[in-house]
Amino acid sequence: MSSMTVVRNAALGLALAVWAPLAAAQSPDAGVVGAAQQPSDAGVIAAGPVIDANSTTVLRLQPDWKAGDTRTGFWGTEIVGLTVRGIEMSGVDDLKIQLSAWGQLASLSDPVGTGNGTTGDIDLLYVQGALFHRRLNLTLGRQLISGGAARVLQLDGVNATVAIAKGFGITAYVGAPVVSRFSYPVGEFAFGGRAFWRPTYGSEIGLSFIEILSGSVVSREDLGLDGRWVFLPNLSATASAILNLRAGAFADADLTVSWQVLPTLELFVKAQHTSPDLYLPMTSIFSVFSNINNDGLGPGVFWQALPRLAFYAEYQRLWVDGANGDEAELRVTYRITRRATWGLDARFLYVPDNGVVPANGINDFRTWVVYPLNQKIKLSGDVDWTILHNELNGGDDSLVGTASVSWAFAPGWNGMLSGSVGTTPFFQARYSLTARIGYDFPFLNAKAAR
Amino acid sequence: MSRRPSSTPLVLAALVVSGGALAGSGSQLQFNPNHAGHTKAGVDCLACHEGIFDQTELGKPGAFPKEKVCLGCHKKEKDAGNCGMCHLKADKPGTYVNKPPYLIIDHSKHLEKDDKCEVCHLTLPEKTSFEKPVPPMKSCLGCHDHPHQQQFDNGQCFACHVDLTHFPLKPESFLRHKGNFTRIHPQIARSTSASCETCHEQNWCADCHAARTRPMKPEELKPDRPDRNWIHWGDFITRHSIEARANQAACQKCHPVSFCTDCHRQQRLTSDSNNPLNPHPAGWLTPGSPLFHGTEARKDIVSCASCHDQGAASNCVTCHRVGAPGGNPHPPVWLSKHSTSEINGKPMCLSCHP
Repeated sequence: MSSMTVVRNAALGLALAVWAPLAAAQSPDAGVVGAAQQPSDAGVIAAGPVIDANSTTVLRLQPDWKAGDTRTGFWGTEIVGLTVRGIEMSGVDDLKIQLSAWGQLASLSDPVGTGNGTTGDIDLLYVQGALFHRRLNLTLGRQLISGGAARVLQLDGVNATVAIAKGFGITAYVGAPVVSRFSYPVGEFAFGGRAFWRPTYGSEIGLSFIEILSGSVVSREDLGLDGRWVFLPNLSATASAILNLRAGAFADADLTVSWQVLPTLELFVKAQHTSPDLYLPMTSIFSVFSNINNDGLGPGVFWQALPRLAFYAEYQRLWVDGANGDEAELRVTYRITRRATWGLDARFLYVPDNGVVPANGINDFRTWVVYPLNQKIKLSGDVDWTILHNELNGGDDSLVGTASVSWAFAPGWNGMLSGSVGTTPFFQARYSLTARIGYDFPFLNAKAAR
Repeated sequence: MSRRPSSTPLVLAALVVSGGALAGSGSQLQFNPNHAGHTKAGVDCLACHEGIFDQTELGKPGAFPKEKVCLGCHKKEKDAGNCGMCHLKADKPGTYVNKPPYLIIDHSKHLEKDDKCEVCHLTLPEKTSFEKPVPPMKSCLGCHDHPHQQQFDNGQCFACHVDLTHFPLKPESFLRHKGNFTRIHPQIARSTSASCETCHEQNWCADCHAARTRPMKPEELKPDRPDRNWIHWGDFITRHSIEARANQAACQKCHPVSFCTDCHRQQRLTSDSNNPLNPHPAGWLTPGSPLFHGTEARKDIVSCASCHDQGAASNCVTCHRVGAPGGNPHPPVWLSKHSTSEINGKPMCLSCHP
């Protein structure tokens, strides 16, 4: 995306962020608590626009590494969010406008992956509403398309969902995939859809399709089949598969079966397959080079051993590059008080020798705590220790600690200061400093149905 | 509307209004009105809860009986000091606990359609039970020509629920976000994203999934949430090559290959950077060598692409083209899946097959 475009997008986003709340505030019902998602025939009447608006300022100081030289960079980022619900329009239910946009100032002219100088973009900007007694739900603008073969697609376009009957419905979308800030277009035009059957709240199956064109050439053409089914109240399965139609092979597939043995104990087994080369766009020269699979299979368990103490463990046998690897994870959480929590995460990953790159792996341990001192001040911190199987840049481990304090210092205001220090194979001493100030516009916000 | 007596527990309907009162912990609960006992005694719901007919939303006053209503029948017990008959803390009798309602319901409109409380409130808690008198969801969904079934099908939970934390959802695992939910949520969201949307709007998802436009990772934006199992916590730079080998596709779900190139070029690891470093082992270009690049490319083409994907100008193509020393780059199964007729439609094919 060109710099002019991102600046224009940022300016548009910021202008909208200012305009929309003010416009809504001029409405006679502005600020009245409503229930935008509640249908009038359900007995609750929307009382006017409900506005959630917020602003977040993030100031960040951290090292940036370029060709062996370490530089210190400063980033100032302003993120604005706006949601307007409950706008009354004849024949349209659940009308909603949502915006998320940001602008950034960076001290470095060529940082990696964080934008140069002054930049900005719009993450979301869409209008959504339901027509024909909620039979048709329309979303227009920059949005996230999720579900089925789309995975998660950021799209400038229109998305329509039609609820047919008996839980059957169809979603269809068309538009332009959002151009990455890293100047790598996924494609210029995308369309797709998903037909679904949702017999109960927890069960759903869907058949989906997506095609993305790049310069009138097919970049991606996938067919998806997905489902989640609750066989018994304590037994469910989730599965999906995405078939690359041009390659005639599955880009990915997964199956998870969960059995809630007790209200406090759940067992699951998970199998997954990916073909990484099929994640490359078909317009990439590398899409013609390989034919590889990554597969995994293993069990897991969640156990709420005590009301305050929970365990989560998962193991995956990996088939990587035609050889066997292993991945395991253990997560322990202990609720110190109602709002304070301590946790420990341990993760072990081993990838085998593939004939060229030697076997390698990591053992990662992270302990963390979230501890509110009172209603306004919260302390949090974590320490992450990674041990490498093989040396990297002369080091075989890294240790990074982060401590944060957040403070709701005034109504609607929230501040946070966070510092991180550590030593890694790439940095003898690594640090970062982040300050964040958030503001929820109290005169506009609803008393929150959510 | 007829306000004829009913033998069923309208009392329960009113108690829904106080959801908070009975939803609280045992120490907060002040009353146990023994609805089942009242019903067995033939007490009409209206005798205590007449105000429910005017109740448009939960939490408004009027639905609970004042003490004088109770004393219309139970004055003798109060005079005798038998406070424990109704008050759970007989030594310190309290009044209703004022907690925010967690359901959205207009009783007046529902009662206009049918004034029988038992249509919704199917069961009554016994005196010894502290079960919430909230109707089961099948009461809401079972009515003919009723919008709630459609809302349910569309996953519009918040048409009725203020939040979803007050109910024991079955199966509990569905919405509990337990364990490492960050890791497992993609599978769930792929088939039931509508369920996600009942609680999370798109701006929630965008914190992580708008990677194409967002300037910072979520762990940079929210370092004060270490309880979230973000992907890039700690020293991810050190881990990333191993993580990418274990699941090559994982990175590409958010980052296009050019994201890798962008950084690797800065580190002089790509062929199109100035004075590039060579990360490849000896024998990389020697046919027959155990470390020959062709073997690695077959197994991990994404790693190659992370530095060398310059489109048709990629340095791979200088050798791997018809008549060039690299010869045919395609895997053995290629011709079984692709016909020569595809060539004209794909610029990448034309770069080698003009």
